[in-house]
Amino acid sequence: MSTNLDIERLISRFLDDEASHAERAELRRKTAQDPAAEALFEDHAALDREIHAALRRSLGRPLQTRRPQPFWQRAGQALALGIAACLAAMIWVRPADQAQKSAHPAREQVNAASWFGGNPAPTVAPTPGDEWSAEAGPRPRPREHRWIVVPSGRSGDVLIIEMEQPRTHDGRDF
Amino acid sequence: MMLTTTHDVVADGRLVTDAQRGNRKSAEKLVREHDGWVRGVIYGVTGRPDLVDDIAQQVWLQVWERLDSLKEPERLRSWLYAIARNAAIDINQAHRRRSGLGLDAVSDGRPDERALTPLRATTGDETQQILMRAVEALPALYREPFVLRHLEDWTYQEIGELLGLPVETVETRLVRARRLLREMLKGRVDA
Repeated sequence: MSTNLDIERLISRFLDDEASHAERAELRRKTAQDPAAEALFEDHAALDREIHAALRRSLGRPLQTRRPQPFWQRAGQALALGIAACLAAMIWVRPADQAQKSAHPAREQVNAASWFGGNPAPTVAPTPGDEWSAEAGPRPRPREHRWIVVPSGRSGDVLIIEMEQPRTHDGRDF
Repeated sequence: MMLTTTHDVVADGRLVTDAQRGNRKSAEKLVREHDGWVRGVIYGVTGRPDLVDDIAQQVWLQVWERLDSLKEPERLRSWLYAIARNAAIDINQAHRRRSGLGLDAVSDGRPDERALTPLRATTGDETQQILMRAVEALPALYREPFVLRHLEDWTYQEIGELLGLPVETVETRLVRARRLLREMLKGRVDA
């Protein structure tokens, strides 16, 4: 008989994409046989998704999409993909309007005033968290520029690196 | 124990050596490539997103001051980690002292209940706040691997390499982090 620790460990490994094929099968079997294990899995999976999104939003990271999902979601996605592929094969898919691609031009230049003024300024593409709709959850934090300023240790030189990121130091109540 | 590294230590070493010689491009690349996970470590240690910017600035200051002392450039990650972790602990403790809070939550194995208020989540923003408070309330030893896993998408092995822990310990800490978070957030958010 499996203990709660066993199942928690399996769930954790699955959520972290560390579970082997055999472990995945074992988790699938346990959740199918035991409603309590299934409930525990659903609880952890949902919480993990919420916390993952909250953490990445808070620290200004784009949301990650390759985290493991529950079996039924995977099956649903596979089915949806299959249907979409069939539809695409049957109907004419108009190529995306190229003009729309310029709706999000590279919006900032990095490094304009840095130590390395002579270098070409890299551009930063928009991150997936930039577009927001009410259904998508909390509004992403406004983006801000942050400068990392470090003296070079060599006669008065200073290295200035401009980073762009969502603001991380507002919204707390003390 | 045979330790295999999962990131490109040779490239790290080259970057450090070039930066030590005064190559500005390498210095900038070094910061850009490592700032992300350094910030993840700082957040993992402090649990405070509002402190991350300031501490990261301090860390890079120290890195630059001490870069010449890094004799094994291929050990950049562990060297950076030690600087980031120490700076995060120092500044967080100073902040907690100023705020009149104790230091217990940083070191012991229990969550800091004070960081959680019995709010019922009604909006996305409130849910976000509650979730972040729960992560903040985690003991640092569980929060560190948990944050690195979620922010950096690192494997257990990568996390273990950075934190100097066996893979099994990383795994156990992640299981416990999840258990604590589930207990803390039971009935508080509609996950």
